[in-house]
Amino acid sequence: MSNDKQVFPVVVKDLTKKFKTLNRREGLSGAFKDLFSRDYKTTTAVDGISFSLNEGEIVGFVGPNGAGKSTTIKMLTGVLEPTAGTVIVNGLIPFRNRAKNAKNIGVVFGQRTQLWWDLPVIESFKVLKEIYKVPDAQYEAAMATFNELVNIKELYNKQVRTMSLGQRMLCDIVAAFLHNPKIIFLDEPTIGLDISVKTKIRTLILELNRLRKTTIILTTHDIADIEALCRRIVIIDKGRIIYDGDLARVSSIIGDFRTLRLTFDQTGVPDYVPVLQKDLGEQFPAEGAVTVEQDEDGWINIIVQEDLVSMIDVLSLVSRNYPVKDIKIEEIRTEDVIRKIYEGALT
Amino acid sequence: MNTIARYLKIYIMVVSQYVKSRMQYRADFIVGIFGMLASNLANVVILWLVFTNIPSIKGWNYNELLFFYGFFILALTPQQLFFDMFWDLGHLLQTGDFIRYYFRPVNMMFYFISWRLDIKGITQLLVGIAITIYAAVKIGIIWTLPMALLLFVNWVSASLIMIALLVGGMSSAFWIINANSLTGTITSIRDFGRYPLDIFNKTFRVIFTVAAPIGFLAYYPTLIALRPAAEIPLAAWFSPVIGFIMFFLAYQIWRKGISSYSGTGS
Amino acid sequence: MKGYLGMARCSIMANIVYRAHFFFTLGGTILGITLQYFLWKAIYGDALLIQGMSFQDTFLWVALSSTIFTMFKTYVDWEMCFSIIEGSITQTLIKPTDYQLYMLSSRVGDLLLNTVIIALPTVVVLIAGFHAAIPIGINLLFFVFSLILSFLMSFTMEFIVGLISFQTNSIWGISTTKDVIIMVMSGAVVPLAFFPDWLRSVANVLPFRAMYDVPMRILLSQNIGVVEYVQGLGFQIMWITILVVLSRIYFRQAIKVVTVNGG
Repeated sequence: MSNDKQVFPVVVKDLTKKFKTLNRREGLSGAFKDLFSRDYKTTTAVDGISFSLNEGEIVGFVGPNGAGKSTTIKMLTGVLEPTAGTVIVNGLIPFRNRAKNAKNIGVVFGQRTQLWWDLPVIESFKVLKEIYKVPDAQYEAAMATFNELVNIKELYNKQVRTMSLGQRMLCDIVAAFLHNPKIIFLDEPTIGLDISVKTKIRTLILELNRLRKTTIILTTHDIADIEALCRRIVIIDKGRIIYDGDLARVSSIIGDFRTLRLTFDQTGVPDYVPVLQKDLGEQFPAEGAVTVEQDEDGWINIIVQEDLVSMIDVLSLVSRNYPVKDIKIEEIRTEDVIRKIYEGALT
Repeated sequence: MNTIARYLKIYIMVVSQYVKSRMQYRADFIVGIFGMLASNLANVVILWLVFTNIPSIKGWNYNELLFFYGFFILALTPQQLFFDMFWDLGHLLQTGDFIRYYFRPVNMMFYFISWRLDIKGITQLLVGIAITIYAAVKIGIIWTLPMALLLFVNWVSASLIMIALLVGGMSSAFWIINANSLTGTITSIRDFGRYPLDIFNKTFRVIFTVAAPIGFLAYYPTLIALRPAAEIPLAAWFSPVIGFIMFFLAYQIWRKGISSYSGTGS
Repeated sequence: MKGYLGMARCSIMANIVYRAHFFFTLGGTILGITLQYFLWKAIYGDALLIQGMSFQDTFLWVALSSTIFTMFKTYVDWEMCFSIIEGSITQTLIKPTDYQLYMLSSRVGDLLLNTVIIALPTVVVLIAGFHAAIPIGINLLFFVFSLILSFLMSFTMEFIVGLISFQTNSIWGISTTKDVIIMVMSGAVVPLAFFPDWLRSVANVLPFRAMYDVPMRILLSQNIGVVEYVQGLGFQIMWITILVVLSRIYFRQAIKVVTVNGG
């Protein structure tokens, strides 16, 4: 018979959070007036969102700054009380059961460590073992796993204060997984790290997720993280969920896009980007049909919306009028899709 | 009981590690002790300077005021040793770093204060004991077991009031943005307790007995050792309970604060 | 010069935006004065004069000294210590400005702010609430000069303490010791008139009385004249010069330690 007991580790329904902030006035005299002001405004940070997570899922939370991701995570971890709606984590209401909920979650903030700054990190692990009441055998097994995956033993006696950012992040992640929580919240876990460390961390997360079926919520601006780790992506903007589904299909929801990537013969170099944008803009005037950008690797990307404009037409115009050296045609990058979504491609 | 034992174990683990790491900073340790000694000694010097000019203040002589001062700093010591993190509360709230205390399955205030032990508080403990004993001998206090026990309980209670003032006062940083000036105000209010209530007029004496328990920081608690039972005002016998009440109230303010904090970033 | 003024303005704005700073700092100062009122009233008891000073004399002396002390506190020493620990000092040292002057000008804004939100209301409260009688005459002019000199002295001492913290990486202990020595030996907490003779002679040769004893006497003493005012200012200038020279020499040494340790 069907069991009504909750099976999803996280269930969120119509979750809303509003804040009251003081309307600040400008300038020196305005600041003086503010001392006596009672003029507040209400901002809605999270506006009635609903979703649920499956056990063992790795979900990416993406959105521009101010979108409400951080506020949502704070409600999930019991820091903030929702203004309206419900949130259930591991069968508990997080805000009302902060300490109890904490037993079964792990949290990592990219920017802020939770480890004891002046202590060798092994001491942090030992204290956490005590705080979470981790049995000896489980602790030893967990440390063995971490050693196997990222050789954490090397860092045992290093003070957290003296670690590089990458080392510290590894330790924070290990610390979060130490008590084998059912859910882990990762906030910008790879920010500021070089690519080799990022890869190491992504592998660690994937392996631990595979071994322990930990549900993972990842908030990040790094799309490469999302592509490496997540099958499901939730896009939040202005407090609302604009997309919740497969990463693979996110590009399809904004329309048919492909990217034409070019390099040019650089003799007598002008800056091609504004020239191309103007030229193509005149030839293909439909809004958003053609976007031109310089990529970090030196290539120029022309993002073509193929519902509006034919790729072949763009390609022949460019190759006729410009000294093209090399071309690639690719699916639009997830990063660009998401940016377009922020810019209102769905509305 | 089980929880207390567990918390004690965690606290000792964390704090002993903290002390170990602080001991690496020899200069800081010595300078801190020196500053503590200088500060306490200065107060004694000031008292002495005043008394080279007059024999007593509102019926209190030099040694009695010395005893008073000793008790005051002894009452201050637990707050200083264990609750030192609270002075940083405002700053941690502003930077958003405070959020790290939310994610452990232990009481938040406990976890918060476990991050630091102010070692130089031990200096103050020793100085306080020395001054109090010296003054007690000079006064010629005749100790009885009930009186000694009551004084001890009063010390516990006075310590709790000191802690409550800090916790309750600094917790207002949850609602007020710039808490830097707050620390000065808390110290200013507390300073009223450094002297016998006899120096104030009736209005203030009433306020410091009934409305704000400043009189219970040192005045009422020490009267049992310094005055014959017949002369002790009624209020003084309430000394043992006031501390627990104040701490309870301060704790409620803290709880309100942590549930209303929203961190930085969005 | 314009750059330094701009910084002063920013500093004022940054402070006002936080409304509580105003209420709490002023509140704390007034509380302190109230306490001193009762304390000295009790000390005087029925006596009219102690060491030639009346209760009003002493109370005013002590109340103004402590208000000025609060006003002068710029925490430059703390900032310097943190800048060493966090390494941010290198950014400041790179700037094409003199480090000491840079620190000073960053504080001028705070000082002006403190004058408005602390000192002025406090004086009003003293006169209206505590019936203080401040003699008004040419002494006020000299008092202002004297105060400026006191501030420079206070700042230089904070700066020197900050330099010490470069080596100890610790600030509370030295800063507190400095504060305590200044407050006692300058006659700010207990006027020098109350000192036993031998201690007073010690205090007279130390620089600290230049910070509070001199401006207070200029402001409040009825029976001294312009000659003594000028002497007082001269005494202050002498000590400031000595301290500033010391601070410059010490700075050059202390900086070497910083750059050698890297960062």
